[in-house]
Amino acid sequence: MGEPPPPAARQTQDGDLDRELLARHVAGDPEAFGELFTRHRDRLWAVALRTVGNPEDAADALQDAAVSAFRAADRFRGDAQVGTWLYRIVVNSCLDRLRRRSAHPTVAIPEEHSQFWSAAGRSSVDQMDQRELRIVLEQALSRLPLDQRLAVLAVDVEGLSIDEAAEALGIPGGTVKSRCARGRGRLATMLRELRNPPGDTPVQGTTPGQSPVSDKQRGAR
Amino acid sequence: MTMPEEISPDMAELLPALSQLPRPELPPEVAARLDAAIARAVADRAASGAAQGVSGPQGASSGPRRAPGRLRWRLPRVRTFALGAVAACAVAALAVSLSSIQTPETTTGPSTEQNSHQQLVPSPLSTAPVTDPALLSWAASALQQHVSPLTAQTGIMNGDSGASSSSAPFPYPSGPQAQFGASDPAVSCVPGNLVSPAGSAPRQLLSSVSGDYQGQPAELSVYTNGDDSSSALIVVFALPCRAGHPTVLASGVVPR
Repeated sequence: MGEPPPPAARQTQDGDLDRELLARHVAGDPEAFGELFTRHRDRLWAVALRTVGNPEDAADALQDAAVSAFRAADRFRGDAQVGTWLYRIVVNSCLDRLRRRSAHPTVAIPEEHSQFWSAAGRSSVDQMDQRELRIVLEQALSRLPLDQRLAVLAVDVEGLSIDEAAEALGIPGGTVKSRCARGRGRLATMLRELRNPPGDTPVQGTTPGQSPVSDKQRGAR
Repeated sequence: MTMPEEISPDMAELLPALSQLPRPELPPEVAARLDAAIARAVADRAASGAAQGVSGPQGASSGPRRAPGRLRWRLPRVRTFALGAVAACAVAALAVSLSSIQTPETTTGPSTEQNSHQQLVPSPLSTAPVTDPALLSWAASALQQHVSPLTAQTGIMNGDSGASSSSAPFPYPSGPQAQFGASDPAVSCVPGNLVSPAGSAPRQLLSSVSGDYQGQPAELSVYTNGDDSSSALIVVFALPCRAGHPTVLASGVVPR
């Protein structure tokens, strides 16, 4: 048979299917929305978890977002991708939740929730390095100011275009760019510091939620 | 795009690492919560749709939308008008339905004359010679019992008694049958006279007898055929009668 379609074509097909499912939902199909949300929920879960920083709030935010999207489907204008529209609803739900609990813009990831980040095996030095990098990166992301974190998550982690990110976050494209640039710069600095704290050996196997610097310093004391 | 020297190596590592960050797995319990929440929303919407007769994504949670401002007081009037119009249409349709006589194709050929039913909307009655032997026999029986002298004979008219298009069993009166006159309450729907086209004499009821026509209760009524005393018009009505609006199953002319 034929080869799988290229990514752009696949994206178009996915977008068409999303629109079809949403239209069926609006028309009254009881199965359509569940199918649509299932197609996106892994990604939306990642966005929610990285935005609010803990699985309890992330689950609540995602559930609220699902119900909101269900009810607001007939107001979808159709000038954006359905996935972007869902992304925005999830981000707004997360922001509501953060506001309600008077969250700080920087959210630490508790240690016990590190299981939600898939950890690579430690059978080789390369894998260990990759795992270390990911853990440190997740930590660094969680420490970014919220506005920069949302921009970096949308563009650099989730791969949205600037326009899509602007739509998803409800801010101008220029603002997305500037927040991304500032967030990247801060991340790079944090990454360098986290991996190579001055006057000590590189941190290895640090779990999210623990401050590598603090651990190291505690261990040194 | 160039970066400051001290940042560039970090950034070169950072961007690919960000794009390759693995997605956290959706815990099964969260997936189950989402499924349950969506199922509840679907159920709410279904319940709302059943209650309101509409289907839309708003569901029961948002409740019915109220008409804003000035529209609100107009809606009852619009509804009243619409209901009145619907009721009027229904009454008119019912009147038309009741005023018409259902006349299936007869077994005796095409209609050549328009006859009218007394006090009823005229419907085409066939005045073609009856060729169905069973129907002729039934007609002869009716004529012999109620009107004399009659000389109804099977096949007299055309001699092609087998030419009837009716192939269904024709279990006409077998043995004693209740006989009905025009004034009998049981057949009050059978008209005593059939109004003929303008200028013709009314067709008067001569006799009437009940039986079974093609598997259904029926009544055969014999009328005068205008000025022709050598023949009679027979009309088979379905029983029971529909409130004075009989259904004609067959009609035709038979010899007397």
